[in-house]
Amino acid sequence: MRTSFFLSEALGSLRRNWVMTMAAILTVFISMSILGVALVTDRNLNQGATSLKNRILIKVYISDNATPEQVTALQQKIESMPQIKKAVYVSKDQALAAFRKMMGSQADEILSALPNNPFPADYDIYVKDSNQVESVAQQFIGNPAVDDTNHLLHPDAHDSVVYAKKTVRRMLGIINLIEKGMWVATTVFGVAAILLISTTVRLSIFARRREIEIMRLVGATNWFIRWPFVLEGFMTGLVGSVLAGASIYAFNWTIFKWIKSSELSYWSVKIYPPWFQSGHWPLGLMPSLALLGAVLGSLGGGFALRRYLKV
Amino acid sequence: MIVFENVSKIYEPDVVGLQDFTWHVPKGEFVFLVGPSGSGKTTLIKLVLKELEPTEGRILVAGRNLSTLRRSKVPFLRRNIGCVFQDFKLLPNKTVWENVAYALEVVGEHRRSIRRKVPEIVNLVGLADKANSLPHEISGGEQQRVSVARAFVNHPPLLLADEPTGNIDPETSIGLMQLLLRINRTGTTVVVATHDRDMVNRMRRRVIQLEGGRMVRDEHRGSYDEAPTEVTGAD
Repeated sequence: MRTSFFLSEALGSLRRNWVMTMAAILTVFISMSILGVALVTDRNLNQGATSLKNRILIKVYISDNATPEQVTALQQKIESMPQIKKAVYVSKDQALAAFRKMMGSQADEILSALPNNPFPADYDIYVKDSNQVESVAQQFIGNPAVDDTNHLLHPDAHDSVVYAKKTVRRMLGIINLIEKGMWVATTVFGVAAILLISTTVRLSIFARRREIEIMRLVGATNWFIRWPFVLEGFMTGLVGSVLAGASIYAFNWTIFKWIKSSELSYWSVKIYPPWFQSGHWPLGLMPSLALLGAVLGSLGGGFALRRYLKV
Repeated sequence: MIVFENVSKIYEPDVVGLQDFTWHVPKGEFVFLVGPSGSGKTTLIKLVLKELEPTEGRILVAGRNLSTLRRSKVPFLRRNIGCVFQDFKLLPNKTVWENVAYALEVVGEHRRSIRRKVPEIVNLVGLADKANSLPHEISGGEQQRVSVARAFVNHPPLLLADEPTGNIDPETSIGLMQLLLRINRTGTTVVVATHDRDMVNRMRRRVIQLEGGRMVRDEHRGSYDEAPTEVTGAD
């Protein structure tokens, strides 16, 4: 193949039809930006949901009246359950210290009114699969070591086993919904991107149909005519999507900064680093986006020619 | 070089392009196709290039049967046929030199042989000083000579010209015809479709007259018009 010839043909025509080139680059840029933002947002939400799910814990309060044997039995029960990822014992003193830390100066005022440490010891249990929170929690209801008076402290409590059932469910439900919506949006914008790019390419080819006719009459094979167009599409797609990638990076970074500086950081929302590798995008999102743009451009250039290449 | 056997071309719905046309052009001949607009001259040229498919009949060009020629092989057929058109059909963004070189690039000619052949042919058509001009910077006659140069740079066995003098003035036309004649002398078969009465009468070559898609005259050393008694080939 005469690479240098095709390359100079492609570059020459990009330069000559620079208005069209600009339009095509802009089209790719806009489509890929929308697509990329949808993808990044989806990934971020996913990350958020995962970190939220990992934070769901079950508090199993231990009755002050429980015997050491009963506590040991409870501990063995926890250790024997395969659904549990990790369990942390929080003593009465630790629970009190945590309360003091949370309430600050007000703590002494409240505590002075109480005869002794009102906080029960507990096990903070983390499950492996967030869907099992409920079934795991149920296992501790009615256990003799478990305090069943503390539910008054937690409106969300089920007896003395506490887990943020409703809140977590609602949060996960919302995230799930947004995720689904994002996938719909991603698909729609992906299709729109393909249509926009192919329309632009078709327009630029229509403007050059005479040129193509002449090439055919001189005896150029279809691929000989097609290569410069494919290369043009490739370059246009690449430039447009690299620009889109850069702007998405800036967008993501801005949001990341904003979340970090705001109270939202309480949720320790992790921002998906778009240039990193991940399971979904083996090359990393930005390189994948750039590649996608380039491939779309090439295909657009190659396919749009078809009707002019019929002999 | 060209054989037509009972070729008909009917355009949808029922416009006759060419009807029951039988024709034989031996290698090395110089043929004029004459006749009014719509008589089938351009249809004939398009059939030879396999730009159109005949409705009926058989066409052989340079020994190839066009009806069995695969589409993917059509470019290779066209490389054996140089083409000159009334509207020149030059690539507007390429210089004279590049336009001629394009025909060689298409064939996959080496860079070195392109650098050798292009100046040769550009000199032959007398445009050495315009090699770096763009088509719109030169006159119509000069553009037509570029198109002849492009058609001939591969030294094809067959050269087709469709109204080559249609857009250029009579004096320039003479130069162009002489150029075509010179090309014919190298052994290339030349077929010229034309309205140019002076040209045909001056050259006295084989003349084929078309009317309504039929051949009404096939005369060697003929002129543009001829007495009806000498008409041959009509049915």
